[in-house]
Amino acid sequence: MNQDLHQLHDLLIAQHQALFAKLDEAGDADEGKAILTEMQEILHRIDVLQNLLFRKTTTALTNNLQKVDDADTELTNTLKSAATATDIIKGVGKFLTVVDKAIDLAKTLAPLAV
Amino acid sequence: MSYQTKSIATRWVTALLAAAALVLTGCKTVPADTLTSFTSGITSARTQSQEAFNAVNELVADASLDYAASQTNLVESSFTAGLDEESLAAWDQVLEKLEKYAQHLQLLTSPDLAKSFDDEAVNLSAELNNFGQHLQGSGLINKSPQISPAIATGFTKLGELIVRLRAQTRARKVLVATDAEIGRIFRTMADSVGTSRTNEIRGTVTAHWTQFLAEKKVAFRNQPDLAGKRQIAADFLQLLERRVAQDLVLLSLRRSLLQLAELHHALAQGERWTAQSAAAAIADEIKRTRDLNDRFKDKLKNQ
Repeated sequence: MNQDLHQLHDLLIAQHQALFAKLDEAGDADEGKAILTEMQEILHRIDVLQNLLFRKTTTALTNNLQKVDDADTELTNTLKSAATATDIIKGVGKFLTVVDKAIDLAKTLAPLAV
Repeated sequence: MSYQTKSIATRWVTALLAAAALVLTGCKTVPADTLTSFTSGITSARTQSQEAFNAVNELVADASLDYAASQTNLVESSFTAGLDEESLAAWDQVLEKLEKYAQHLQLLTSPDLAKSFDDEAVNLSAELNNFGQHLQGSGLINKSPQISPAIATGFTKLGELIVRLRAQTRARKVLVATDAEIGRIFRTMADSVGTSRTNEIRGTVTAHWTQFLAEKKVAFRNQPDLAGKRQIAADFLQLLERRVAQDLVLLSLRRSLLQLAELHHALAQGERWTAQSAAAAIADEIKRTRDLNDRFKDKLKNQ
């Protein structure tokens, strides 16, 4: 179906070009105008088909993006795991700060326990 | 730190770098230059698409009015949308997704990936140092533990290399797995622009310019005086030039899209480490290690 539309589009473009060449052979002004009108009718159909073809292409492209989405998710997860290594170190630092506070508290409370 | 300890630490870091170089030499890597070209190429293709397609739509809109005016009745079907908004948004969305994918690849293969890891390791060394002194001050231990900047550098470098090598391996795996599909996407996009001036969007655009030229031909036949004919001939020549110019814009977009497919394929193929690239990478690693060591020395200077 899609291939047929492509072929029809190509055919109309070829016909449009053939009519353009015929203009040089037109016997009088009326014949020239008649060819021009025909060309305009064909051009309108070329535009209609172009719209359909582009829509079909973009729809197909959007539907086939799953693999790119999956790949991007994998890349994002790997980036997150690199950040996790950093978070672990950061966590140790935070832990030490808490231990420091606990030691300070223990020091404050020690004389009271005596 | 004694001379002997310092020497052991230096040898340790050197051995670590040599091992990393050995691992890298045996594998293929993601070529950084190609990856940069790939990312910026997608961004350019997005802009190119918008500009090229807007120009196409201007042509179609104008012709649509002429066509509607030539009809007996004014009907909606006389007006064609050209490349409609929804499809244009979908096209842009495809490129936007590919752009994000490329940016993530760039982040993942960047030497700066493990920079925050280094930063936190340096901060931790200072905190460990303070913590030891705190314990000593509290009378819980007799002597605060000594942290050697060289040993700390070695361990941090090891962690950093693990993080980076793992990221490189994943990036290569993803590139290989997606190469066929991404190549197909770019080639489909390039083909929809048109393989020649007689098909797809390039064909449609050529037909519009042919229509303008045809109008000039008829006008020329009907023009009685020479001055009038000369003006029409000049207009005709200008139209021919504009036809070529607009086709070149579309041809350039097509070439960009095909080049992006080739660039991705080159990324998926990877580049073998040559003696030169390995030497450059090792020199870079040595510089980074020295910088890291200096930062540790600075944080642990009271040792």
